[in-house]
Amino acid sequence: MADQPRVIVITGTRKGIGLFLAERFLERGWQVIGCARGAGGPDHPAYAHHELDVADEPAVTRMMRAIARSHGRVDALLNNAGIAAMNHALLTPGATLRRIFATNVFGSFYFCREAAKLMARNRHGRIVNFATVATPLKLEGEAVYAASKAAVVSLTEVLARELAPFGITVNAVGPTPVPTDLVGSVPEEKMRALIARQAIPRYGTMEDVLNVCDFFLRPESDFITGQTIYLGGI
Amino acid sequence: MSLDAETALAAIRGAVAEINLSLPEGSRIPDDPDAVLFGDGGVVDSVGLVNLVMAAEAHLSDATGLDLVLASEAAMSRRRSPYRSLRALAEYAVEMARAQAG
Ligand SMILES: NC(=O)c1ccc[n+]([C@@H]2O[C@H](COP(=O)([O-])OP(=O)(O)OC[C@H]3O[C@@H](n4cnc5c(N)ncnc54)[C@H](OP(=O)(O)O)[C@@H]3O)[C@@H](O)[C@H]2O)c1
Repeated sequence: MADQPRVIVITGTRKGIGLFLAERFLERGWQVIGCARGAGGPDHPAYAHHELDVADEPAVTRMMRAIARSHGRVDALLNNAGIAAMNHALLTPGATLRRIFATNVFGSFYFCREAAKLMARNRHGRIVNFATVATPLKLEGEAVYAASKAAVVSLTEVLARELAPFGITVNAVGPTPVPTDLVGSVPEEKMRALIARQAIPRYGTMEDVLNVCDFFLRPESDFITGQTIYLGGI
Repeated sequence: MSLDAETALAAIRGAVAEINLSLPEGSRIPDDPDAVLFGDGGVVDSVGLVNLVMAAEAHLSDATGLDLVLASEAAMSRRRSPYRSLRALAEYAVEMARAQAG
């Protein structure tokens, strides 16, 4: 089995950080299976794309069972798909909460659950969830987004314990602002103020996010679980 | 594709047989569909139950092509838990398949 190409599932691969991560893992010879609501992802023979909403439980189950049949294994999951909303809490409609929690929390949970079932068969797996510095920075205007990612951190910590007997580690990466569409609508001035609160005041890069994922995926990191690593010195 | 109780039970027993291959004698899961599985007087702990449910989902999927999720909120309920016996699990699988078919 060791000489078979490794299989990684990355959610949200149509654009942004997810697309970047998918391209890097393809370059390294991994089989990459991605998803997004829209079509796309890297154009590469070792890439397979599923068009789905991560909050659609039966669709997620179907995708993971299809992987079980086609590849028979999943070595790693990067739960990258996520959405944000910037608005004062008093102006935030319930629909925004439902949408953000559906994608960030429910979606992450469904993928953790279904990927872990496949990983457990090989008694090995690595899960990386996506948090944000908006949570520890208690960012005004991002109450719902920060709360949804706080839930992701909490899931990471508890799943780490529940999945440890199956040889699966569960960790999270908390990026600082990285220039993508996700932060495109946030005013420049707000962004500067936010970055000034970091120990190292600069925008994060996609390579910074990849570096933390790489650390969690290294074979030597099999004793590291339940941790959230924030970038930038938060 | 629909699922009948007999097919479901056969698939779940297949899952039990597979799991038992890697368990030492004395800690194997009984094949008896009515033996208490999980909960008071049960033979599997929570990790054992997770292993069994995962294997059952995979065997049901192989047998029928259905992608069922046998998760249940009633896991801890003594009377309603779908995990109290292999037969209860099979009945639950049939119920889930029916719900999925709409
Ligand atoms: N960029 C930052 O500054 C920053 C900072 C901290 C944390 N993060 C986290 O990093 C992750 C990636 O962010 P990003 O900046 O790359 O965002 P992005 O550029 O907006 O890309 C988001 C990706 O996720 C997919 N997606 C969104 N909702 C989905 C859903 N319900 N189902 C399936 N796919 C969905 C999108 O494709 P479709 O639209 O086609 O579905 C897209 O491929 C997120 O979890 C985010 O919270 C980002």
